[in-house]
This record gives sequence, structure tokens and C-alpha cells, in this order.
Amino acid sequence: MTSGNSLWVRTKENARRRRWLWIGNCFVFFIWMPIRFLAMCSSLQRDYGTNAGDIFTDSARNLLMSNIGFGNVSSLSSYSVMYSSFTTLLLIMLSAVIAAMEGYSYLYDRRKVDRFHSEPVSCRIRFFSIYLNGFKNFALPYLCSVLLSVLIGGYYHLLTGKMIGYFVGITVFAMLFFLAVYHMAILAVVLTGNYIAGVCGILAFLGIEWAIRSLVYRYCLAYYHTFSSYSRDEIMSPVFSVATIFLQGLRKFAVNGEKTVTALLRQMGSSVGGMLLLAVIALALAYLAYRNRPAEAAGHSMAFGFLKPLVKITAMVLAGLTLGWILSDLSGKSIYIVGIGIFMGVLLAHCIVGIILEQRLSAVFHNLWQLGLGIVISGLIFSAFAFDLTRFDDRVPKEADIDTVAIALSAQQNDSSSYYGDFIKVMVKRMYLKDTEAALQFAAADYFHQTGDNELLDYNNQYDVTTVLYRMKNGKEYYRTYYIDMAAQSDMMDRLLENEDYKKAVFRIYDEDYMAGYDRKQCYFEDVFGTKSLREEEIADLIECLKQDYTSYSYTNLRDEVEIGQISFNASDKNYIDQMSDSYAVYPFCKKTLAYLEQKGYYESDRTLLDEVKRVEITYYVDDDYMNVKTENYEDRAEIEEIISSCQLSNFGTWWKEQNDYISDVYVSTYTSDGNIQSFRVLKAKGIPDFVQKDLEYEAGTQKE
Amino acid sequence: MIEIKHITKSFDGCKAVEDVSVTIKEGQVFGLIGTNGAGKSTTLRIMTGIMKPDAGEALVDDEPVYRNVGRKERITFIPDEPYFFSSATPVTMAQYYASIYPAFEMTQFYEWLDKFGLEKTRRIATFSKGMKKQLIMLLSICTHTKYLICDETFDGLDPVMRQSVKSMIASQMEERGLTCVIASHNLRELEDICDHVGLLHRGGVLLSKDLQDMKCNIQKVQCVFQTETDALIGMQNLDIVQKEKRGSLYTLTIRGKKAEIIAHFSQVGTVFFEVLPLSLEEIFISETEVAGYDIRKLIMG
Repeated sequence: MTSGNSLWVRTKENARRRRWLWIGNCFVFFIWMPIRFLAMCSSLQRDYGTNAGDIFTDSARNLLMSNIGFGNVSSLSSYSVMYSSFTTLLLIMLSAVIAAMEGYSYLYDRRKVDRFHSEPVSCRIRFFSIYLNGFKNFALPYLCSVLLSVLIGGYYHLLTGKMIGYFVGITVFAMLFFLAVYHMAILAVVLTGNYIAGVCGILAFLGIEWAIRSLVYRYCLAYYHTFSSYSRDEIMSPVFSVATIFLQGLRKFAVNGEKTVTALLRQMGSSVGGMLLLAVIALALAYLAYRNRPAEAAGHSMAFGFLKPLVKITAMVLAGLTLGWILSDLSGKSIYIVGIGIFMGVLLAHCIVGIILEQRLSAVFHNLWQLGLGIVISGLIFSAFAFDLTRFDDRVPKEADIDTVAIALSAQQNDSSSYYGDFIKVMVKRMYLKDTEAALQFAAADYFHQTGDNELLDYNNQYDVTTVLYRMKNGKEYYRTYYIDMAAQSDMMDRLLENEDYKKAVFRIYDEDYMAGYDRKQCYFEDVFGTKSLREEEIADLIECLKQDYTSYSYTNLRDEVEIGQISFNASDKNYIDQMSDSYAVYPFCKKTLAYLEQKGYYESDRTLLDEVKRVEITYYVDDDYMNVKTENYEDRAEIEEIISSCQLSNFGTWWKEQNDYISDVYVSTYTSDGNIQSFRVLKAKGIPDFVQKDLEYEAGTQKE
Repeated sequence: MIEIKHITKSFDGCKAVEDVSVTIKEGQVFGLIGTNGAGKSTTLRIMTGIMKPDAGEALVDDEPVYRNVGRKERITFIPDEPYFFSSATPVTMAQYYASIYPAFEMTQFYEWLDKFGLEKTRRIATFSKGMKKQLIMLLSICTHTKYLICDETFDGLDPVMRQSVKSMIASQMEERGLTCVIASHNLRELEDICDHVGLLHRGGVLLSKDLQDMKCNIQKVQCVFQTETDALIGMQNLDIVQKEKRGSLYTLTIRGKKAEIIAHFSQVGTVFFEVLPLSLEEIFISETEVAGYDIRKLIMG
């Protein structure tokens, strides 16, 4: 006779009672994966027919990749992964949570605990028979759905070897993701004693790390002046958030392109390892908790009483700091309002969590010491940020410990708006400055460091929001943001901008393989007279001229000279899928470039805008909400000449100039006979001509400074 | 043998049972009596290995029962609120029991099912409370375990069914030496079935005695004395627990052996006397009064 205390017998018996879960999963995954895919393929076939076989195959392959592989073949970017995988991801998570709840929630019911725990079945076998059924109820329908989708793909001749490899890898990864969520959900169910607490526990396990990290990030951003938003990844890198680990793994795989099992393992090794470790730890803890869980916990909120204060205080602190941060944002960091927000948040959590934990309304009056402790902890954490108790802003690495630095200027970013991707991110990845002292000079020149103010109060100067990345000799990296008064620190700015390594990092024309490998190459020169396209064979010569001229690239030049125009380089492959664009400012100091452009007929040094302007329009923004606007038009040559002479006749490169150099509320637009319209700023030093002031009833300084 | 040794169990700081010790010998029917909240269910759940006591231990055949599959195989527990799977029928429940208890007697189960008039394939959810109690009793008895632990089993059964169940237990005791522990808050329910009774009150054991011993040591006598002087003399030197007089008829509950009491009354001046059988309730009244408790308040309400 077979013993009742056998894993096989118990699993079989358990499976019999949980058929509905298996049927439900089959229903959902079959509809979502193979049936949906088949329907979409039929629709595609109807749309394209046999005349456009390639288009059908490409589209259907993308559908299949999206269906099984959480992404799309041609545009498997971080965004497409995020959105196309969301539903499947959600289904897997739901399946894991339902399996855990369904399997272990018997622990919430005293009658069921009496039934099962009095039976001659060991704790281990009872736990794992439920566990195996939960996994099986997901794994079989999911695997069958993947297999059916692949078979449908085979029927339509869509499959390639690489795709199959990718499907194998991604399916294993998806199963691992299920296990990690499943184990965490089991742990949450085993630690709690009723459905409300169980659901809260699952949500907490799946999201608490993200919530804490997000809150820390928000507070750092709000209260640390030198905190850089580029430290976000560092702070938000998940350790326990399975969904984020999964998405990051997919993104790593998707962005890097190659889609084979080995590539998947190589690129996603850390994500797979992290998830596996997380799954194992969660399962071990869940089993330990299950084994030691008292039977009398059924119906209570928590299985282990000692966890109650911990859970409640954590929730109170999080709620307090969240409400504090929301009010801080709304009130402009008013310390009193934030204090009220923290108190309200803690109190609210004390009441809600207290009622959930003690299952009675009067719980709001119990354990008031926890309320006090929650307020104290939240207050301390808030103070650590608000008063910088950890001296975060004062922390500057020792020069001896720094290996290299990257210094990314916001002015440079604004000046190179057509640069690819996220300028700062790209910049710091390209820049390895040995001049570490320069970074320390930036730290010392920081506005907040120099003035001791909490807010940027001086709006008269042009401040550069400089991102510095310190790469330490021990391998660690720190991002910092400094507010630099560029004019006041012109020597320091010159030192950086004249640095050869800096130039090589910022300007890709110095790359040996610049524009190499692209099928289509284009170059444009744009100045106040319009945009001209250069011939492809002229590009190499122009780049050479620019490289030579840029040896004179310095802050002083950028500040003192007026930018004449911009050169843009565009390149792409045949299908315009892989594209790049890049632009370079042309200043008077770029003599060789200007001479070359003039020689080729793209630039005329003696051409003046004044000769071509037929009409000038002055726009006066009376107040700073840009609603009250006055305009005047001038066609008289003498007036036009006087107006234009007071303008900086270039729209480029204003980021390097002092904002105080310009009149902030008046703009001049020029209209030429060929329909070219340009808008310019008026130089404060030249001033607005008297007749314009009179016509516009101009009153200086009506806008807020 | 089941031994409960000095067990203590608290819930949220409130002691449910405190220092409880009882011994249940094989082949006995042990009645665990107590009011609601006396700690009966907790004691039974510790006895069956569902709960772990804070202190003390519960032994089944000399081994702790908690987390001991070998010992749990010898026990079937019938809780006060039995749980059946949703949409289960007597047949599916029997299959489930058979998967847990290899010695489950399927044929016997179906026979008894017919005898009790319970439909095999009807959903248990549609059964009445009494029918569910009958079913769980049948299922549990058919497991053929050595010990049957019942919590408020007779609650909800009509007198006929109660008697049938009692007969079933008795036959199993006779056939295979079943040992049964029955917890109840109603003394009258256990009167004709228990061999040994333990009285729980406020988490502690007030008394635990063999019913036969108790019956031997206490007698109820009805008598009419010839004169009042005879009455005074006749009641001298007796350990009278309770005395009641209606006209000239005295009803006395007296501690002592039956033979000694008969001999005593034969020698004093009585018109007539007779020794009457004592109900369990009367025995308990007398026993608990000794301990300073009023059993009527404790059990009979």
C-alpha cells in the first residue's frame, strides 16, 4: 500500500483539487499567445496576400517575437520591450500570485489548518506538493502556448535558428521570473494570516524596494544640491524587485541586438543570476516560515507577532516620507509644510496598517509608541536630507583616489542639440580626463559651495549645470552636479575646453571611424541666410578644417565671439534604420573652415543681413507670462539699420554668453525679400533704440529677473 | 496511550491551557468536559499535533506527536467544524481519505453511508450540519486509526443519530480496540459512553477520574427514618455530600462504598431505604463541590 506521506501521492491528489487553476491558465495563455498570434497572422495574410511575401514574413516574425519573446525583432529597444512585454509580464505575475494564494491560503482558515495539519503528512511534503502543483499549473500551459506559437510560426515559414535559440532562452528566463514572483508571493502568504494582509504582503514584496529607492532618489534630488539625476540608475538598481530585474535583463538583451542563447546568457548573466538568487532566497525563507508558522496564526493578520511592529513602522515611515515629499514639492520645500505632511502620512499609515493588523477600528488608539517612533524615524530621515546631516554636498573625493573624470557641461549639451542620444550619458562614457584637478576645481566653484545658499538666488549670471563623474581607482563611480558661474570661472572653463581629451570626447569628428560604415552621408551649413547642402566628397576636407580650427576652441572664444553658423553631419544606412547626426558651431576663430566654405560657395564673408532685410518686427513681452505682447514693424532703412546694429545677429551659441548681456523681454525678427525670417536677441550694451522704446511704451524690467 | 504532560498554551498573551496533564489509556473512551473557552479544543489540537505547546509535551505511544508523521498516522481528528473541499461528495472525500490513510475501509464506508442514508454522490455543501457530522464520523472511523479524537462531535446530531454514532464507536472499540477522546461542553452527551472523564476549567484540569471509580465511591440513598432521633443517628458518621428532604423522605448523596452504606442503613432505624444509580451529572456535582466549584454553573449552565 502506498503511504499517504509521499510527494508523488500528495502532488497527484493536490493536482486533482486544483484543476480549475490549470484550466484557467491554459485558457488565458492559449488565447493570449498561439490563438492571438494565429488570428494576427491570418489578418496579415489577408492584408498582404502572396504579393508581398517579404512584408508578411517580416511583420509576422515581429509578431511572433512580440508574442513569445517580449519584444520586436526590428525595434527591440528599451521602450518596445517595456510596452510589448507588459501584458505577458502581468499575466505571468498574476499567475504566480494566484498560484501562491490558491495553494497556501489554506493557512488563513482554521478549519483547513485543522484538516491538513492533523493528517499524517510531513510539513516538507505538504509544502512541496502544493509548490509543485502551483509551478506545474503555470509551466505546462505556458510552455504549450510557446510551443504552439512556434509551431504556427513554422507553418508560416517564419522561424530561423537564431529565433528558436532566442525563444528557448527567453522562455527559460520567463520561467525563472515566474519562480521568483511565485516564491515571493508564497513567502508573503506564509508570513500573513488573512487575505488582506496577504495581498498587502505580496504587493510589498514586489514593490517595496522600488518604493524605497524611488523615495530616496526623490529626496536626494530635492535636497542635495550636488546630487546628479544621473545617479538615478545607481540608486534605482534593483536587488529584490523581480519585475525590474526581468525588464532590465530584457533591455540589456534587446539593446545589444544579437539574439542567440549564448548571447542571452552572456548579456543577461547578472539578471539571470540575480533572479535565481532571489528565487532561491525567497523559497528558503518561505519554507522556513511555513515550517515554523504556528497553526493558531490562521485568521490573524501576521503569522509571527514580532513582525507586526516592523511592518507597521516601515509602512508609517514610507507613508510619512511620501506625503512629506509630495507637500515639499508643492510648497517649495517649506519645512513646516513638509513636517505636517510627514505627520499626516505617519498618522494615516498608523491608522490603516493598525486596523489591518489588529482587525479592529480601535487599533488606531493602540500602540501609540509606534506612532511616536514612526514620526521620530521619519523626521530623522527627512532631516538627514533636508539639513544634509551626512554632508553629502560637501563630499568631494580626494584627488589621489580619483582615476579619471568626465565633465559634461549643460552649455555644451545645449550647443550640440543634434548630438545623438542623451548627451550627458554619452559624454561621460566617452570622456576619461586625466586632469582630475579640473573636476575638483569645479567642485570648489559650485555656487552652493561658494555662497552657502540653499537656493539658486542669483539669476543675473549664466550658470552651467555641470555633471561630473568621478571614476575612482577602486572602481566605484560617483556622479555630482555643480552649478558653475562660467564668466566668474573663465580660467577654469578655458582649462577644460582647451583640454584635448575633452575635445576628443565631445567632438566625434576626432574619432578615427567617424561616419565610417554608413551608406548615406550628408553635410549642411546653416547661417542667418539659410541652409546649404555640401557635396559628399567635400565632407572629409571640411572635417579636416574643423579639426584644425577646433584646436583654438576655448571658453573665452565662445564667450566673446558670435557664432556665424553651424555645420551638421547626417549619416544613415540604406534603409534609414541606423542613423546618426552631429553638429558643430562655426565661430570667427574657425578661419580654415570658413575659408573652405567660402571657397566652395557656401559662405560669403562680406554678405550682410542688413542689405537683405525688408522689414523688422519688434516683439515686446510686457510680462513674464508672455500673454501681454506688443509688436511694432519698421520698414525705414535708417530705422532697420539702427535696430539691427543693436542685435546679436546669431541665434547660435548663446549658452556660452552671459544672460545678463541680453535684454530679456524684447526680440527682433527680420524679414528678407526671399521669405527668410530670423529672430534675434537685443544686446543690453547696445540698448533698444529710443524710437522703438517710445513706440512700444517700453518700460525696462517689467519681467521678473 | 496518549499522554499530555504539563502543557501550557497562550494566544496573544492569554493562557488557553495551563499546566494540563491527562493520560488516555488504550481502549478507553475519554470524555473531555468543559465550558466554552475552557481549553478543550486547544488541548485536542495539541494532542493531534496541529499545535505546538508553549510548554510541556503531548505524547502518543511514548513519542511526541508534533511534526511526527508516524504518530499522526495513528490518529484521526474530527474538529468541531469539519472542513470538506468545495464541490466534494462523500465519494471524493473517501478517495481523499484513502490517499492519506492507507488502511481506509472503503467497503465499510459505503455500507455505513447506506445505513445512515447519506447519498454517495451528492455535494457535501448541500448537506445539513448533522449530515456533515455523520459523514465526518464515518470517514474518520473508516480510517482504522488507533485513536479517534472528536471535538464536539455530538453537537448538532439528533438523539437517534447520536445513539447510532455511539454504537458505532462502541463496536469499533470492541472490534479493534479503538481509543476515543471526545470533547464536549455537555456532560449529558457523554454519560453513557465515557470510561474516564477529564474536567477542564479555565485552562486547567479540575479533575480527571475513572468513571467506574467515581461511581463506586459515591452512592445515592433514598430512605425514611422511623423517628427524627433515628434520622440524626442514622446520618451520623456518614460523608454526606448532599441532603434533600421531602416530607419524611430523605435523598442522600453519600461518599463511600455501596456495601458499607447498605450495611450502615441496615443497622439504623429506617422504615425503608434503597441505593439508587447516580447520573454522571450527580457524580460531577459531588466531585466538583469538594473542589469548591459548582458544576451546574460550569457545565450545565
